[in-house]
Amino acid sequence: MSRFKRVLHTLVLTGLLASASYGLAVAQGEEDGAGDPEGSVDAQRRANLSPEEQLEEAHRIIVRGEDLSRRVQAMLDEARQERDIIRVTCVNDKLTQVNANLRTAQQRFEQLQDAVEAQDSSRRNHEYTVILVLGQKFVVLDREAAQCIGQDIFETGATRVLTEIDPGTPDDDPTLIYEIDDPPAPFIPPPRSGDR
Amino acid sequence: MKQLFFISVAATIALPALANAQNSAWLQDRSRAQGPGFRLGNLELHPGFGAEAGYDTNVFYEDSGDGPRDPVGSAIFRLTPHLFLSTLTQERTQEGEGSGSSGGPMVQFQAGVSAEAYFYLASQAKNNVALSGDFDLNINPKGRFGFRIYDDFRRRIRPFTGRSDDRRRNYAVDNNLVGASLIARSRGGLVQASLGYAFRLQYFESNTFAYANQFGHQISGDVHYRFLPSTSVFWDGTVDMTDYYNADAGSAALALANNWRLRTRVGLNGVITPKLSATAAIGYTATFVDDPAFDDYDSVLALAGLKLRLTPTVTLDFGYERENKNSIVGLYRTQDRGYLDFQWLFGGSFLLSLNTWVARMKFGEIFDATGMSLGQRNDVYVSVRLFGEYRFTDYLALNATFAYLGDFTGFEYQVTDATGMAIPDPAGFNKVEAWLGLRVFY
Repeated sequence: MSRFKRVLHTLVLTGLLASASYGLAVAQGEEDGAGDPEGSVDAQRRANLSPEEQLEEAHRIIVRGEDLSRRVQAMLDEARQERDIIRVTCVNDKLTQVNANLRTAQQRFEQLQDAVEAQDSSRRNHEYTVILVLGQKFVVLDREAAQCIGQDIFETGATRVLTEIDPGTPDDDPTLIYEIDDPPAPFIPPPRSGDR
Repeated sequence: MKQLFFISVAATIALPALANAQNSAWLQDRSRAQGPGFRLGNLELHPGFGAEAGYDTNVFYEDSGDGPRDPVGSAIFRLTPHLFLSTLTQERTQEGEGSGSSGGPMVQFQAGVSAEAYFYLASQAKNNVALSGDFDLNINPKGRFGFRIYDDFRRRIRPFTGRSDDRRRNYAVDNNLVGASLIARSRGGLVQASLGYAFRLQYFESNTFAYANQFGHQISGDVHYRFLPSTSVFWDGTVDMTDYYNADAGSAALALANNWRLRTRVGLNGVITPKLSATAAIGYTATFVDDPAFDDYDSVLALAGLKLRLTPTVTLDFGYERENKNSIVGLYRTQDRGYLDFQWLFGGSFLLSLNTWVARMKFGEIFDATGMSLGQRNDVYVSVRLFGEYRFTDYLALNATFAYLGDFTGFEYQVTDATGMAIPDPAGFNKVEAWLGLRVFY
């Protein structure tokens, strides 16, 4: 093989390896969320909000959390009425998490209000960021609660049995038992002579 | 239409008919007797009339040769009008005349009257008219709880035993059975149970036989557990009390005593495959007689039978039965019977049926009116009946019947002749009947 060809092959191989490495890196970046920086950008953008806007946004997150808590509570009641123990366990777990996060969010909201009043911007942004993270947690819990599955995934419902009978099968009534006819005349002696 | 009705007839006559050689063959099964019928609202009316000529070789069931009198043969003419009334039959409800109603009717009803006028050419036999009337009312027949009430009256007039002289006697005997039953079913009809009571009466119009008049109370029950395709495991039982209320009559030829009978059995009945049905049952019966002069009796009951549907229009039934029956002679009789029934429907217009059975009968001990034992009676009884009918149209048919009855027994009654001397009268007989007739029906 000539030197020129070896150099050419080396370049082609190098090019292929570089392309593959780049593609792999891009794909991995997307999997890691590097391709979807919306959350951080969004948080960053909202962190730059004015204190009043942060309070308003934080209040909306808490209202969403309260709504979510009520809805999951309703789902739990429904599952209990249906005596669906599997779904009860799942929804109850989500409700516990929602309520815990809601309490944290409410505490953080009070601290946010304090920070706004104290005009402590770094603490204010910190509390607001925590509330944003709790809001994202509500979104995740909402989805997970909705995905709680019950016994119906394991049960096929009321059993329906379809029976096919050969159309040629006689429909004789089985409650009628075959009876053979009796002799046509009673067994009785002939009359005595002179009887009327 | 004609074919449909005839097929339905063919399907039903395979069921146990009250078949015997004494009556017009078609009257023994209502669905066989009737045609399309007139519709009167939710009822059907089926009129009909038959005229037959026949010959009976042994009108009085007498033994040939050994008896005090020779058998009397006679040509006989028989006229048979009938009128049946019922709620709509299956043929109508299934053919769109059922006004689209779903489920079964709340009430099923059928009633009928018929007569058979017999004209004997032999002078020894008396012309007479047999009558029948019945009704059967079934309330909520397919529901959870149902109720049935029925009555069946029959007046038979043909001679049933030998003669002791040449006088023309009245052999009429009236039978009536009236009863009611309660029926309960599970929601899907898987289990069905019934409990019923019936009162029966047998009344001989002639004083000569009045000593054998009897009535009876009968309580019966059954339970069926049904399963597919059309089969059931069953239990049935009966308590039957017989009262010979006229046993002390002066004309009594036998000593009779009140008695009651218990009968119970379990078994399986129904379809096994589309071409094969089976019945198998085993049970127990006991007869208890009030008079200690008579022995009580108990025995095993059995029933085993197969029904083959050789083709859709050809069926063959055969089997074995051990039964215990009420009897004037001996108070009861046990019979071991083998039977064979064949039926062939050809071309939707011609029906041929053969019913045969052979029985070994053993009667209870027989006592004459003075209390003297006449011993035991054992018979071998043979019954053969061949019936053919050709339907020209929906309302006109030609039919022919051939029947043979034979009773082979060494038992002899003691009868008295005109001088008062006791002479033996063998109880066996041979009897052949042949009939040919036309009938119109609708």
